[in-house]
Amino acid sequence: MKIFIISFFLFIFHLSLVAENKYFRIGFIDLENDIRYVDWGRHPVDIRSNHSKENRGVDGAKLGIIDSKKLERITKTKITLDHLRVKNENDLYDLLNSDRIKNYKSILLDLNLEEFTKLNSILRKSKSIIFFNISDPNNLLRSQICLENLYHTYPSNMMKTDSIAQFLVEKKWNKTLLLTGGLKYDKEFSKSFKVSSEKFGVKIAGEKYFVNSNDPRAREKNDLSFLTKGKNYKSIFISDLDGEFALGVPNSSVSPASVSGSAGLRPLAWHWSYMRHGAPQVNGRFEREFGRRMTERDWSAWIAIKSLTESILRTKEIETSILKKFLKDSTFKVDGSKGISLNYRDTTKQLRQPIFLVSSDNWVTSVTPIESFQNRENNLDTIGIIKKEINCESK
Amino acid sequence: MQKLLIFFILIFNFFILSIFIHANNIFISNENSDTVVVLDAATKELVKTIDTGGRPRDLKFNKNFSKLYVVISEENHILEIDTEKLEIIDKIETGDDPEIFDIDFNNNLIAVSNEDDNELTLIDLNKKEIIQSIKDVGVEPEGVNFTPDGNLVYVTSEGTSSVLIIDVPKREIVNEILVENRPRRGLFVNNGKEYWVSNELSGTVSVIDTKMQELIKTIKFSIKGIRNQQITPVDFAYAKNKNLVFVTLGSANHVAVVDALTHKIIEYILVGKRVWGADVDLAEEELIVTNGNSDDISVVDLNRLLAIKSIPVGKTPHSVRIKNK
Repeated sequence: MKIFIISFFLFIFHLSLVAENKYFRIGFIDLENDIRYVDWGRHPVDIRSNHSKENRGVDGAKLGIIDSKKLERITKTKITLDHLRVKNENDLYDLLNSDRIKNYKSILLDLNLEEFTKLNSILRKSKSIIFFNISDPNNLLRSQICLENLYHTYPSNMMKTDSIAQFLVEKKWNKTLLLTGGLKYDKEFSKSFKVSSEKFGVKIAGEKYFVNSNDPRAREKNDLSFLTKGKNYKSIFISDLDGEFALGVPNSSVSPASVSGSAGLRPLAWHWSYMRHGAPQVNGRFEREFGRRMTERDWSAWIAIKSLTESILRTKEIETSILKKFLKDSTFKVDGSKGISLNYRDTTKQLRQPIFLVSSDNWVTSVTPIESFQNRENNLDTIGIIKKEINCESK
Repeated sequence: MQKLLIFFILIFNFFILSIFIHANNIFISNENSDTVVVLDAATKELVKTIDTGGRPRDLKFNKNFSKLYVVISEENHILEIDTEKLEIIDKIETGDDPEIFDIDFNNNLIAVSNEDDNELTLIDLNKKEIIQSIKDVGVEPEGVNFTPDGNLVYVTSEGTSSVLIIDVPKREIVNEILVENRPRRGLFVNNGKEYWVSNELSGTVSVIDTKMQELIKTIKFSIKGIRNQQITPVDFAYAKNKNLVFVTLGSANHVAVVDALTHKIIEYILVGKRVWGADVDLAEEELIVTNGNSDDISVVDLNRLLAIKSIPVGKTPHSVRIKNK
């Protein structure tokens, strides 16, 4: 009899131990050959390009996990992270279709896909997983495909170009020459800037397509004296994901002009030089852990983990259906160390956030939304794709 | 003879008067100009600028106001300043990146938050030596307050939205209470019955019952014409006799006046840009607040609840303490 009682209590004790240790598994998927991170051998002078310094956003997610450990006392939940790197897009789809993926309650996507219909249909099927896009700025991902389980912590191109447009209008530098590169991304970025220009009243003085080369026969397209001739502009907006050509644009135009976009004044989700609102503490933790500076993709991964942690903390649940609902609730708040509390737009699932306009690589010149641009409900909605601009197949 | 007597009496009176005037000073730490500025409490004129080095932040007096302690965040120590001579007399090592601290005079202990290392460091005030650092005190711990009996320390943790309660003799964390987003500072109200916490990103103050160690109320601020997101509470000042708590509201550029007993918001006072630190004089006639984004302080008349003066002090003023004697 005694044995029974003891074993019964042991059983209860074990049960309570199990109950103490809830697990919340998060996956992080990136591609081995991501043009944004690796493919810089194309340039013999790639050392000059900004991107040789780029590092994977997964480090930001790791910092999010480290920070979440401090909350285990309250949440009684262990949040874990697996880095799942895939070789190519086919492997990506295989992984997302596999049973292995069902182990995860949330997955962070650090992807740069040419098109996303295939991804779209897979994510649509995996309703129990909360996905976060931590690096793709494509406007169509927000305005055309509004998946119920895909959240975006990385700002859209529209948030970035709206920010620049606000700044140019505020400064009255709003006669702008547009320089567009050859990549698909560059065209999308320029297109987004044109929409922002219309919205805020920037006059496009002309659009030129540049080519990064030294060929004298193509000087109309590679020489800034030709590309920027004339004087009917006060500013230049350049779209150049590659970044090398953009580096040469500031101080090289025929007429004096402020440069923004991929060089000069750059709209970023995060920068190491921001000195306010607890940003130095976040940057300090990151730099001590990873020995490099925190980029905007790191920040986006970090805030995705932080959003999940915050939801678990407030709802006291780890059920993804509940967390998903809470993430887009109006009472949801997350601290991104950008001064005001952040939350998600309920239609596009985009994280509302201020954008840093960073110049000369070490100073945040301005933070948008700029005060003089007001929205009835939330000034953060003056930048980015808002409700009336979306065209979703399914809400 | 009589003339001479009158002369001496006059001289004596001036002497007394001059002592009286110079006895009261206001001390302000300027985070980005690395100075502590000393103003005359009556005339508000500059008495002295003390160079402190590396990012001075929180300030505290000793019991009889003869010494002022200033935390120097980038140099990892607290400076001891003689408040009569206005000179630095000693320094106390604190561990990495100290921000806010509190002193328990009965047990001669300093508790200081180390924001970057997520630690709370306990220091022997007499020996001026570190006793122990307590680890895992949330993420970015900031506000530090000893309970009036000195047995516990309450620490606000910005990154985990919680208040950690640390047993001082045992040197361990004994409880953690969830509050709202980005708790910055704390204040014991009504003889330690309640602990108030400012939640910077929620625009609220959480009221914790210290006996039950439970959250009992949340005070929400809202000001006509100002977006809720701009209301970012940071520091407190407490007028005990008037039963008033003043809460600086950061980017809202206002100070909230709250009844300490009923928790009712009485008034919002317009001050400078990103209002931050605060202190009340002993007579409870004046509130002084530091304005981080306009590099000045505002002087608030507590009888009229109105800002009557602003005085430039230095780059990014952080904390203010009024010496009362």
